[in-house]
Amino acid sequence: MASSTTGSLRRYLVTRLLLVIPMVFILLTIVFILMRVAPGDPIQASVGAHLSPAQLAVREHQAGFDKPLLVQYFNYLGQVFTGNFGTAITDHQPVTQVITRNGGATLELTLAAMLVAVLVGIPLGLLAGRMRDTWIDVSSRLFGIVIYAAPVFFLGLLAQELFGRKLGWLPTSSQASVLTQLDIKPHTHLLILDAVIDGKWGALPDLLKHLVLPAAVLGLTISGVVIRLVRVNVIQTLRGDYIEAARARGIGERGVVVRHALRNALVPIVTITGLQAALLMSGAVLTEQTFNWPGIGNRLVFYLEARDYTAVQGIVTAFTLAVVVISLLIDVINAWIDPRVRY
Amino acid sequence: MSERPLLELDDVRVHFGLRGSFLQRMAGRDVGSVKAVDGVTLSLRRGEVLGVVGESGSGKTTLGRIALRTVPLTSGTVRFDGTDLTGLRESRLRPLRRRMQMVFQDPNASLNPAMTIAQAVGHPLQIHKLAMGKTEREARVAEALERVGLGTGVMAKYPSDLSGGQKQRAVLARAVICGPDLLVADEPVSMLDMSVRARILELMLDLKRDLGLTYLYITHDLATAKFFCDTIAIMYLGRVVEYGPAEQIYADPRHPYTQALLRAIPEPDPGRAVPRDLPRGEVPDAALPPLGCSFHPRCPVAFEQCGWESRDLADLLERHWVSRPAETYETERAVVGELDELEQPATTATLAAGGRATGKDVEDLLETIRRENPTDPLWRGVRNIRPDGEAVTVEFRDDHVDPPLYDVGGVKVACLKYRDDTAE
Amino acid sequence: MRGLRRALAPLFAARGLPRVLLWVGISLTAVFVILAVFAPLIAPYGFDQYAADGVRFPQQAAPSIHHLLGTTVQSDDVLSRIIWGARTSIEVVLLALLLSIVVGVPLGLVSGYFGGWLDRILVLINDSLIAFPYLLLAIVIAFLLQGSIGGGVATAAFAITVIYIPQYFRVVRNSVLSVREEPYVEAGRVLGAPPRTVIRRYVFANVVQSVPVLASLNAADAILTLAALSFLGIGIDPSAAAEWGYDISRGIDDAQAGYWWTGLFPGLAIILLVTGLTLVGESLNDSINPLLRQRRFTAMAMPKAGLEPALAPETAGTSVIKVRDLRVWYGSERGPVQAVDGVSLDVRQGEMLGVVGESGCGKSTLARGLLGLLPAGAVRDGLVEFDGRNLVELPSEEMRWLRGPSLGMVFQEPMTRLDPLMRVSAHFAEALRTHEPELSDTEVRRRSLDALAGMGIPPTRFGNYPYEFSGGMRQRILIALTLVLGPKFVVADEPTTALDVLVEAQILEILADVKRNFDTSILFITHNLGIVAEACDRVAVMYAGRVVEQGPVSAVFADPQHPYTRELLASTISLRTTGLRYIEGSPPDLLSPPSGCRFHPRCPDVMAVCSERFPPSVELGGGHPVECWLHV
Repeated sequence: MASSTTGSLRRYLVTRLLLVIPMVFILLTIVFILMRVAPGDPIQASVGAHLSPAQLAVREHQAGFDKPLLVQYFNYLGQVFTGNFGTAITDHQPVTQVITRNGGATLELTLAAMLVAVLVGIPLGLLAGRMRDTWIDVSSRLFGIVIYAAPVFFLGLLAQELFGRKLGWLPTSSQASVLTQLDIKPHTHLLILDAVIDGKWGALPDLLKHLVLPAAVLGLTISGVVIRLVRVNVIQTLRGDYIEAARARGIGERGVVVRHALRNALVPIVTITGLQAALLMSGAVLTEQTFNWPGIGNRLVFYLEARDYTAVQGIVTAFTLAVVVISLLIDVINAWIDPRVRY
Repeated sequence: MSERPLLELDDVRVHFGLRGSFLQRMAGRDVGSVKAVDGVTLSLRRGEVLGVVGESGSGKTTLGRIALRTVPLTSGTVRFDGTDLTGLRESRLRPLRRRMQMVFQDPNASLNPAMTIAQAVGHPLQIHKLAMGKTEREARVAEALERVGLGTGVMAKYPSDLSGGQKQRAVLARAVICGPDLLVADEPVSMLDMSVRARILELMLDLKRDLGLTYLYITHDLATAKFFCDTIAIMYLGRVVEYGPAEQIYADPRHPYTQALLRAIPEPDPGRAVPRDLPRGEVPDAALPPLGCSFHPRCPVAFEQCGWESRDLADLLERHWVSRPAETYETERAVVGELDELEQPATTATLAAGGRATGKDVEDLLETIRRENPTDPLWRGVRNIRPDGEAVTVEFRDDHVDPPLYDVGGVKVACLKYRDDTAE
Repeated sequence: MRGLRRALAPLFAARGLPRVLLWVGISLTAVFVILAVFAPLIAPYGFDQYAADGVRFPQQAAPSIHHLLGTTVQSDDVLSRIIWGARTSIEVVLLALLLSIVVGVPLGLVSGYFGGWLDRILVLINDSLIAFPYLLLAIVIAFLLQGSIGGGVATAAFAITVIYIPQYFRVVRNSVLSVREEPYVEAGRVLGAPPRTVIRRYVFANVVQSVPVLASLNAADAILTLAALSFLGIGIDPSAAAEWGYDISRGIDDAQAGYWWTGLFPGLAIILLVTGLTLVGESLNDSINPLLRQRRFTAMAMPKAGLEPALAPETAGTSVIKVRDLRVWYGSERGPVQAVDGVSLDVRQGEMLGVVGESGCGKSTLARGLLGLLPAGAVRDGLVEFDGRNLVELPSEEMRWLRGPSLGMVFQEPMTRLDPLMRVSAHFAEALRTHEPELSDTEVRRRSLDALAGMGIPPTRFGNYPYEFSGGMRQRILIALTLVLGPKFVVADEPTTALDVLVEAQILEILADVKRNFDTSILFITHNLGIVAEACDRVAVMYAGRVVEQGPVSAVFADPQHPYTRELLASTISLRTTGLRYIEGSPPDLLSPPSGCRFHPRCPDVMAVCSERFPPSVELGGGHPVECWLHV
């Protein structure tokens, strides 16, 4: 009986993709229900105080809020599937545009922060798990605990104080200086990527300097969680019976750790890293506020304060879809690494 | 005097659907079911000890759970003391439970870690409201503990404070405290030390005598079964393959599987050597059992109608290559193409040639294999080997029979050897 | 009452580092809880008090005697706000946790226990919720609720509750799933207990320990979430109560003007409280989680002189391995466990020595002790002579080189002994290349296939993953993996105990062939006397860390000289057994074994001297030493 690896991986992909559908439905339904939790309807809540009842009725009719709830639900679903996330009530921007314009900035921040979290968290976690209960382990754990305990906006505050004002090394707000912003054409809104695409290498130092503080602050916070989770998984993996059996065959420590422990610990580590995406997105909102980073999180808070339900709903929907895509990616990578998952 | 049997199992079947969810089915994955128990008929008289013997995958554990109705039946009936338990709702079943109890295999895991021994042993009394108040309950717990040879000192202890043998005795105390009629013992001593096993078995015999118990004794160990049981049922892949009075089965085992099991039991006799010529292979996948007689791939005396099929051909090739050095394997392997097709059970197998080989080359290979071991039972089932361009078609006989239980002098045997010995 | 003590047991079970961390965490948390509870008494001023006795406090004043931590731009005392903020945080978090537990735990219990469609749907919803960025969820809910019921403690608590319910659901459900399959839960059902009793007393009682861990970690998270909500302006209404996150948001503006204390102290407060709670949760997890629990052995000094020296059997022929007075002790907190306490034996070339004994006799420790695979904290003493060297004194690096090509080991549980992510071919490649790096690819493949074929594993399965094999086949692969390097001496620690009897016989047959064809010496550890009789040449009977009798199988089985051997043989149930015999009592505790002969409390032939002095080893002739006063 031979094993057809690619065949089973393909099968798994198909079944996993199919699972996306119910997941998306559930989440979108939850979003829809959430947005209707408040009494009255969104328009009333956001601008109702400023309009006369007649104007209110017109607006409600325009937005379709006078239709029965079920119809609104299907309209909502239909809009999402055609990529129309509605129009903001307060500033009449198409929400889709808001998302694409600011999403890139958030993506840039999130990716950079994830890089920091992984580069700091995984090695420290591995080290801590491998050298359990030594001072390396204890200090890594404590570092992880304390740095996660520090709210990301507090760390941001400290970082701005130290690196921005006291030392003057780094800028403390925005994605880029005004000059650079005028210089670069925003294709994707990941300005670093845009600079590379257009070959504007001179802009990179400025962009990177703006990125360092927010990415480092957010990334370090997340790394705290990564350290602890990776550590636990490494400890559990090293207890594996096959580890002892390998040692009994005279396989050296390095071979045991790298070839057996690392790879087996990788499976849960990939999942852990993926789960941090949700954490990262949460943290991004706060980081963007602190550093005045022009991302979606920033916009979300703005619309929240303006009580713009439509925009809020649209942005939250966008986040939802991002979550589904990420969890799909995690599962597929897991299946690729671990043949048992596909079965 | 025809006394009503205490327990009757009538053609019971338990099929577990495989884990394939509807998504997998949507993706076109063939999902079968595991036939854990596939048509077993047994009856147990009061006071009888029936031993159900089998290896893992035989379905013996599931059979125990069928008797106790803790697993849903796919079909068949279960009758306890005349009452049909099959369709009974759980709430109607529960009061009956005090009459049939269970002893488990792992003494470390059969007692609730969160309950003291007194609480655990006394719990059945609480459930079935058989004791008036705490004092009476404690008194009866103490009595039960004495009966199994545990002092009252263990009452306040937790299971982790007791040894394996003590725990098993506590489990017995809990099982008998309500005065059941039937006790299902699922490998009660296999996880205990040798020197402790006899003690527990003796206790079980005492309880049988003193309390008039009937046992369904499930085990893989024919040695303890011989000592303990009146009747034996040998199970293989969800079916009973041999069934009869213990003395007869041990004196003259008829089914090849039973014979093998008996030969394989290690005997503390230095004059004996490790048994050889035992059935090859292992218990097959219960989701897709072999065609015909499910034991035939391993049976040393299989013949024409035992159910030869494509998977046996794959096994043959594998066995052949095991006996050859690696270089021969490489050359010969190139001759044959993908073997995956052989995994689908069928009486016609197509063996594709690999690479530049032709159907004739494959046929030659098969002939070589045959010459090396012409007495391999598989060849008796082959009707025809036909090279066909780039492949070879091997036709097996399609008149195979799945043997039911034949009556052979007081013992029932599910083996085609005995088909003509009886009008069954 | 007893139940309460059991529930709190993990708190006191922690030892060593986890205990230190636990109590640091508890102390930190306690400080803030005290501040919260006694806020009206401790705080110098109200949370929004900006004046006293008609005099307004200074604005944005640096720390001073009157305002220990300074004042804010609104003239509020920072220290007071910290203390009142503690009260707010703890109130909100407590409320949120209670709600989450009350909803999440029963749902997880019921869903996990009953399974079925409801469970599958709930899990899908739950997984989706957990994947969602929790802060977003909290933000949206808080935002919506503020619009309707205002921004008090309840709103914040509710927003936080919703995001933590899925966590309790998942953790409790996972615990239930693992407990549900345990025999004692089935026992509860078989006894006739109705589902609610089974769930309450059999499932929940054993699942409840995971809740405090989650609760502490969630509490830590909740504080952060609350601070985040307040920072964004949708947490607690500032006019209703003080909140640290809100203060930090004000502090950011202050910092730019150089007033550092308004934002710093709330931040430090959050760090300290969250750290405290996390430490509590982590250390509880360390103590409870069986996968993380460590059996710690402390290395302790072994007395120079052991018990009586153990005689090695007088045998002809070259010994591949000579063991003389080997002792292996573990240091536990209650004292040294004398697992192997003076064992001497020889294994000749091409011979299979069976080591037989019951649980707790030390045979597994002996196996590991020979190959140096003991956990940290175990001490060895004595002589294990192999290839002219004493393995006991060999540095671990040299020992490692011996393992594989010279010394091999086969373990008990085959199901978990192969790396699940590596193909069988990769396992072989690794083993061969580690020890014989100069081999070519074809050589490696050839030797691997031949080794596997010798074990009856067909070459067609060479590229399969471990999960595609049954237990018996995995054990055969493992044996092939051990033998492919050609070791002279192999220790097999109960290799067939977990396997069915036909598979067991197959493997024994294979081992007998290996022994014969390759002249390998095998130390075969088992509790099954039948196997020893059929497969082994010599036998050593172990009891309480000593070999009480050893000799040729024929001699020992035909006429056992030690009462334990005799009783053990008699209590073995085989097809020829006619009566039930057993040994009274149970094996001794190796922490404090009985005085004198360790078998004396259970020996049917016990004499006065047996309890006083340990019997010397006596050679009965023909390589048959016994340790029993009957033969002195």
